[in-house]
Amino acid sequence: MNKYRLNIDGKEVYGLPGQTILDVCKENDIFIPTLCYDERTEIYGACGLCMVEMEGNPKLWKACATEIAPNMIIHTNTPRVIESRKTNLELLLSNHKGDCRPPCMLACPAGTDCQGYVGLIANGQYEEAIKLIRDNIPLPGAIGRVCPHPCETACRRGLVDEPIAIANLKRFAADTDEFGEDPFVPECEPDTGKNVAIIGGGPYGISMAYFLRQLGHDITIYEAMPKLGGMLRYGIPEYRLPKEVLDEEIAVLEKMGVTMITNTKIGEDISFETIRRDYDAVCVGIGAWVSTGVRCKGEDAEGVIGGIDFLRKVVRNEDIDLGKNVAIVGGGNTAMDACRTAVRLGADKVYNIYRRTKDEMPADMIEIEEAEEEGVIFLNLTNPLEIISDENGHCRQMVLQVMELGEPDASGRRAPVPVEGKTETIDVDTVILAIGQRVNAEGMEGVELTRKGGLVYDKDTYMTALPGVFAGGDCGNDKISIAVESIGDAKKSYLIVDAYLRGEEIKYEPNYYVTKKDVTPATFEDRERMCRPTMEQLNAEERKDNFTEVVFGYDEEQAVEEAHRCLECGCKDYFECKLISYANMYNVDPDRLAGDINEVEFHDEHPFILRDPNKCILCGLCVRACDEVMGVGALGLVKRGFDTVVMPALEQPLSETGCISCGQCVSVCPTGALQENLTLEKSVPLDTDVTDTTCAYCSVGCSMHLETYGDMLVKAAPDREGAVNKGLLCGRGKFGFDCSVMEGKLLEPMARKDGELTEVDYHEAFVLTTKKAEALAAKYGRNAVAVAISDRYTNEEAYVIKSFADSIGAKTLCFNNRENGLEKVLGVNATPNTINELLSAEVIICAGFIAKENQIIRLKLKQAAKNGAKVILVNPEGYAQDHMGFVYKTVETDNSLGFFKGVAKALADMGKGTGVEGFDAFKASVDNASVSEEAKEVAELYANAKKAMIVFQQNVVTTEAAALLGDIAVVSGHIGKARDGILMLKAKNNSQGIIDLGITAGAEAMEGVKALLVFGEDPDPALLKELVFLMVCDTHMTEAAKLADVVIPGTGFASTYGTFTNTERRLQVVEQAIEEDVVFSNWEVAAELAHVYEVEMPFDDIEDISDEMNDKLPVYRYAEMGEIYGGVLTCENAKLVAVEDAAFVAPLRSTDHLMNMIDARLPHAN
Amino acid sequence: MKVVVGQGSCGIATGAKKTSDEFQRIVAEKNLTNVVIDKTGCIGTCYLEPIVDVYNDEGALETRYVKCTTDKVERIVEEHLMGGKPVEEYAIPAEDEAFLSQQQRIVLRNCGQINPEKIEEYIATGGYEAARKVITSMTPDEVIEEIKVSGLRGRGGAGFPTWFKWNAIKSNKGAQKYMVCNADEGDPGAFMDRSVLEGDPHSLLEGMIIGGFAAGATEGIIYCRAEYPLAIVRLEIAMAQAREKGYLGKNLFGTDFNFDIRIKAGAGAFVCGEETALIASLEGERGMPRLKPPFPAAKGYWKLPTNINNVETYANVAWIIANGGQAFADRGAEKSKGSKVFALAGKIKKGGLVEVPMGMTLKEVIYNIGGGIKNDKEFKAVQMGGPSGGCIPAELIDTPVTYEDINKTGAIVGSGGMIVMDEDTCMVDMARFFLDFTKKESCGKCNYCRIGTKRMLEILERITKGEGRDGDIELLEELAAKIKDGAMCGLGQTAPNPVLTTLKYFRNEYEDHIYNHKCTAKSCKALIHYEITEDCKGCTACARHCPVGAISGEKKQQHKIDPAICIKCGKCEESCKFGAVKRV
Repeated sequence: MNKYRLNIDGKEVYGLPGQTILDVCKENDIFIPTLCYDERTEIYGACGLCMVEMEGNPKLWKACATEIAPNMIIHTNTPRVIESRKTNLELLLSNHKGDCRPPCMLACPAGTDCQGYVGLIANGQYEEAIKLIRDNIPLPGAIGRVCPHPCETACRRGLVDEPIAIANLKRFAADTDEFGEDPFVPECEPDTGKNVAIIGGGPYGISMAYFLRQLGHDITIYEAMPKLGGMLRYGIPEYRLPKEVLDEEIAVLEKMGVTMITNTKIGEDISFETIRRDYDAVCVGIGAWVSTGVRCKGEDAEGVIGGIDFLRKVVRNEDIDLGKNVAIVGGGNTAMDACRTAVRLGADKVYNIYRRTKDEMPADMIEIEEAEEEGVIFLNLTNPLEIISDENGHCRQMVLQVMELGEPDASGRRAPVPVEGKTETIDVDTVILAIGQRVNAEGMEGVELTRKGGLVYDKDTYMTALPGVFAGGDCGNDKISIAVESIGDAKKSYLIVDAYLRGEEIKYEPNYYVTKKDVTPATFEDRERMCRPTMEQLNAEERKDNFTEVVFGYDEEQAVEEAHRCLECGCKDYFECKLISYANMYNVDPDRLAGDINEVEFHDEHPFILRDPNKCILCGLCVRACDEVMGVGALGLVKRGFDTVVMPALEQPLSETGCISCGQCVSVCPTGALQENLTLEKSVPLDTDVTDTTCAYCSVGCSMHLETYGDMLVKAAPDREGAVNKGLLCGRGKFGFDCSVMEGKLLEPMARKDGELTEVDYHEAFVLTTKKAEALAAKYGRNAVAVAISDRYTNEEAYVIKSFADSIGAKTLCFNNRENGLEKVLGVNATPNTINELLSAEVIICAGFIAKENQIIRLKLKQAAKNGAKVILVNPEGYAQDHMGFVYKTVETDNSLGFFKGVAKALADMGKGTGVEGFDAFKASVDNASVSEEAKEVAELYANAKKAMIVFQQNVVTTEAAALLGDIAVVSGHIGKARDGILMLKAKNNSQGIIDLGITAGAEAMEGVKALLVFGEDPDPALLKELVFLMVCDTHMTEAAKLADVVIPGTGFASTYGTFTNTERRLQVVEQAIEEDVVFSNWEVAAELAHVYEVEMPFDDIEDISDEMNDKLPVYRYAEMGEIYGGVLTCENAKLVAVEDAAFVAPLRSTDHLMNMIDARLPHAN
Repeated sequence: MKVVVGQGSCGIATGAKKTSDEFQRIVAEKNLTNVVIDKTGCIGTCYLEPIVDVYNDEGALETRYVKCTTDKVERIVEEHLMGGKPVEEYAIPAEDEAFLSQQQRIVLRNCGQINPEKIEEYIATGGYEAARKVITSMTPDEVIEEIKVSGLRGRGGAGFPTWFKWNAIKSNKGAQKYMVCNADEGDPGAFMDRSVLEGDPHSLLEGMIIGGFAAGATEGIIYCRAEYPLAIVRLEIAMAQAREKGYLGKNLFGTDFNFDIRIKAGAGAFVCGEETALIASLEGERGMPRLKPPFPAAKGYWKLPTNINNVETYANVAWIIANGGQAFADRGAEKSKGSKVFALAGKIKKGGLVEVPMGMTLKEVIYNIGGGIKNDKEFKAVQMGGPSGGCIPAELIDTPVTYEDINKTGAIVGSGGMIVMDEDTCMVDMARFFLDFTKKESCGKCNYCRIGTKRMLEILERITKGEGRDGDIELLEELAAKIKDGAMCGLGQTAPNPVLTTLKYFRNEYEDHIYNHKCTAKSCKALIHYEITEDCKGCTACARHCPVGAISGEKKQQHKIDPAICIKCGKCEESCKFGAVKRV
């Protein structure tokens, strides 16, 4: 075909006729945003984001819908295009209701993902929690203790009862990590060759070092004091923040390779000039270390000291003689710290002087309360008027002006006004002025200063007027604030510094987030009231004469309990939301278009799918995917115009429509309007890792992405590149991926003692098993010992288990194996044809087909029908199937082989098959069959088609039926050719694999077995009755396990790697996504058992197993990953066999309890 | 003698059925065996309904009675039917005759003349002869050529050449082709299609048959809005009669050409007048537009070649074939041939349907035919083309009504709605009204239309409430431009037109609202108040009419309105005989 040449954004590209502009852009990596496009559905064109300009044409064109023409010149990024996209997004966002990110995170100056780590703690993922905290906070232990936590102020749980104890939980995570075995140290990128000097080792400097070092820059911190920590060390007393915590956190910095030069003051020990010359960039965070006075008479007396100066002296163990009476002026946390420190230093009377009441004090209420408990005397509504000194110039008395609260001022705060003429006088030996601080910028030559003496820097770039000199924290722009604010400055500006080092200029631009504006206590009326657990702490008597840390922090149980109270405000789909990502890409300002929001009341109880129509942007993808891709049509658009909303069919609850719970709607939703209902203890938005693997349920073998966070399985999504499924998945795969780690998971081995299963150690369990098996083998012979191997296990797992069985002379079986009737006819125990051949067949007979067992095959049939195939569904009565409206003909038979014998007879009568081996016996066996009209019609359609296929499910139809279907294919000649043959669907993901390994026997092999070791199967308990000894290795306490003498924990597919062989002999990759919380993997259990038998399995890992399999199993030696081995089987030795009368279908109960588990959880419509 | 009572929906609404029954009753009572009572469709002079025509035995119109309510029937029967003397005072006044005499009727040629439920009457006017001629003696190409000569352009809105569409579907390959009639007339104030459907359904059927033959289609579908029940009934009668005569169904006129028509009742969504949405609706889907291309001529109904014309377009076809394309082309303007039906409404003296040659000026239509502005107020503007159109201000009243000239003003000919506005009409409120319509009728598919029109409406609402902000005009302009660029279908793309044209011609009114908190036309309630001037004679009429008791005053003393109570309903102004109540 001729290619068209066109020019897009100045780039010469080629495309094929019929391709759209979007297709060509995608092929050429030219970015076009889309919200409603999915190549599997008809072009819809609703979102309008893909607009582009075409030269010589005044219109904007939708790239998704415009077919290319020769010599088109297209611009995808003109100002008009960008403006159109921006306004479009603004319109969408003006009608979008939700919280992209939780209020706690938005309130944190450092942008800490509080909801994230609180949720991780709730899920027991402490390591992940600290990693997440450390993304933003390099001093989590310190901040967790002292932060005034704006996050908690913003926390909506406060509208219900009390805010989540976010700070305490941070402290919990930090302490668990830092005082644990292996504290987390972030990885640093390779050295960049750039160096940065940081002046001041406080929260800003430490944070800046922490972030920049991770990017590979060489960092040196210059600190004037003897140790790093800044005000956290020298301004906060030990009883609130033990210095040990700070030391641990600074040690992390050291491990990262940050150089720290202490006791070095810039301007004194080294000149600022030198620093600037020697480093590529300089970050100044010198804090605000000068106490400000109250400007009252006599404040220059001896014995009057600044609050922070006082606290610093205490930390540095300098001599301080406070005398008996100490007055602290001020109402902030520093004042409280000074009060409580004075108490601890033994002062008789400690006064707090504050000109307003306690309610107006800026200090944390807990600090005020604890100070009061410790005996601090609060002289509220007083203000120093004069400090009276003795003859030595030492303060002795303080005259206080009594105040009262006046009218509220503009800010609503009631200003204190003096009560004319009313004063009080108190005796004082020391006066501590904790009023405020200012910056001493001496030594920072050339940096412009504010009127108050702070450093001036650009608020967007954090750079001072000196190139390459950045500033942040308390020292800059008169923004003296809390520690986390300084950390926030570093967080917001480190990428700017990094860019500067790379010669680029960027600005800090806050992200746009959608936030809910109308949340009130009524919003959470349905929540149970539950206060936060109280932390153990020292009582006032225990604590007031020492500097021991007052509060102990949460223990694990308390922390988890507290974390569970989180209301989960932030959108769980934030990390995959296309809308918000585009919004920030196009710098939207939706507020200018603010107006009514189409708020939708909704109610849904689907076990797996959460809907939030208020986040819906009406891209229609869910509706179209459900209909066009999945052939279900459970969703539709209701109402019109601005009021349009997506609703389940007939406005029923979703689970009561025809929904098959495949989650395709969730997968295609570009926002959070459709979400997975996660099974995590606490669902939180997480930026997950993705592992590409293969589903472990049916034999189709769908490729999927497993999303994980740490060792948590979060969700699964179909792989669009999947060789078989091409972006499709059924409910089992989409929502059953985590069954193996769900509630009730076995974690410890057990053995039956006095009739009860009791936890034992592995050694005991293994020894018991081998001894019993050996004893029974000795008594009844080798054949009395059998090993059952699940067909859900990987080839590698099954291989090791079989090797173990072989090594002890035990026979192997799989209860899920049904004798393959086809084998008698075709001579192979595999399906001769492959799945995608269906798409090009002319006639497809689908015999004994239960769609829910292989939903993806139903979709292949649908696609085949769309391509023109006549699909004939033949099922016995009682087996009607949903969502198969595409079939050409449905035949309902009784549950016998009568119908197909009729078809076979009709075929033979047409003269088909004469000369094929076994024809006579076959013909005789069907001669008595009656040929119904339908049978005749089906036989003719089938016989006359050029390419015809038969599809059936091995464990649904009987062995005899399978043989008869084989006969029908052979007699008509529709066998052994591409797109012309039989697709037999095996029961499980690796049913073909275990056959290839030689595990071919089924339940019938139980004859005479006395000792059975079961790996991952849950067979019918009736089959286990005759056993003397039973060991079961599985993930949960299955029915079989309940009968067992020994139970050993097993694992699921997400924690192993290896291969599955799907029904069409395609070798598929299984990748490990998580570690499960058990000691031995499935194959290691077998290896351990072998070990007790003194047989050593020569494997360290799966690689070793794989290597040996390649050596010993020729079939796998040349099998390529992802490919079908053997191609279409030619079945040259096929012969016809006579088939006895039998039932048509007899579904075999699945022995995979994980599959049974997800089937039970899926709504019945599946 | 024959008494024909006009019974289109408009006539029936004013009581024509009762009038007809009354004639039946009295004629029976008086045993007048020589009098036949019959019915016909709408003649267009809606303001004169019910209309009764009396024909003499030779079939000539003797007298046309207007506003003929039941109370007039007895006298007409006695004096005219029995006495042979027309009741002159009930007859149509000469000036109203002018309303009709200045028209040139092609589309409406039979409306109000024949009984739409009798195919014989249609045949008697030469009906189905054009179809016969086409099918028995012409090739499809010849038919298309004749239509091309006529210069007929689509009467539904866009004015696309009809021959071109027919030729396109003729040339496109498909197992089956469809001739669809868009009878989803949805523009507020436009009812020409209804008039044809109710008054002359066979002319539509004949047009579709001819089109079907030309384009190679064998199936026709009329997508008719369900709000036109009478139209559907009459269409069904007409189709049954045509089938009986062999004009529909198999082997038309004895040839091997098969063509049949069915009706699909639309469910009342304005957007279904958009052709792709109409097709979606025909297919049983939600009525939402689809992207073009592909155009329906290539992939329409069930992805097969489909031609869509509206009722008025089809209604021209038989006439063109019968009289020759040139006869049609001889009428009208250079690029806009033939005649066009307009629906005159709003502040006009004589509202109704008029069919005039294209190229007539707005002034001629409004003043010469429509009789000028109600109450002789000042003409301010005319909204043309419904909610997709725009307003044309008084200074452009000499604009000829052609596709090109009207487009230049920012409005469109559209389906032919003309809503006349006088000095009391607030143009901001007018734009708000139309946008409210399109916003409600948006299907909700594309963002720009769904949310954009809503946001524009919100801005207009706040402006008319006196809460407009600095920057609102610019925001309206920005949104309008982007909606035009970005909306998916005609509904959205044209939705900003009323706003854009009023901004173009009446920007001062927007500014007055926003910056001076003043409604220029003194129409927006939030921005006006009522005062009683010194001209008050103290007659108390206003106080008596005030529904909320906001007016106080002694008899023969100047009255006063309490602004705290007043709801600005305007009853006082209406009731004051001395012009003493003023809107300020």
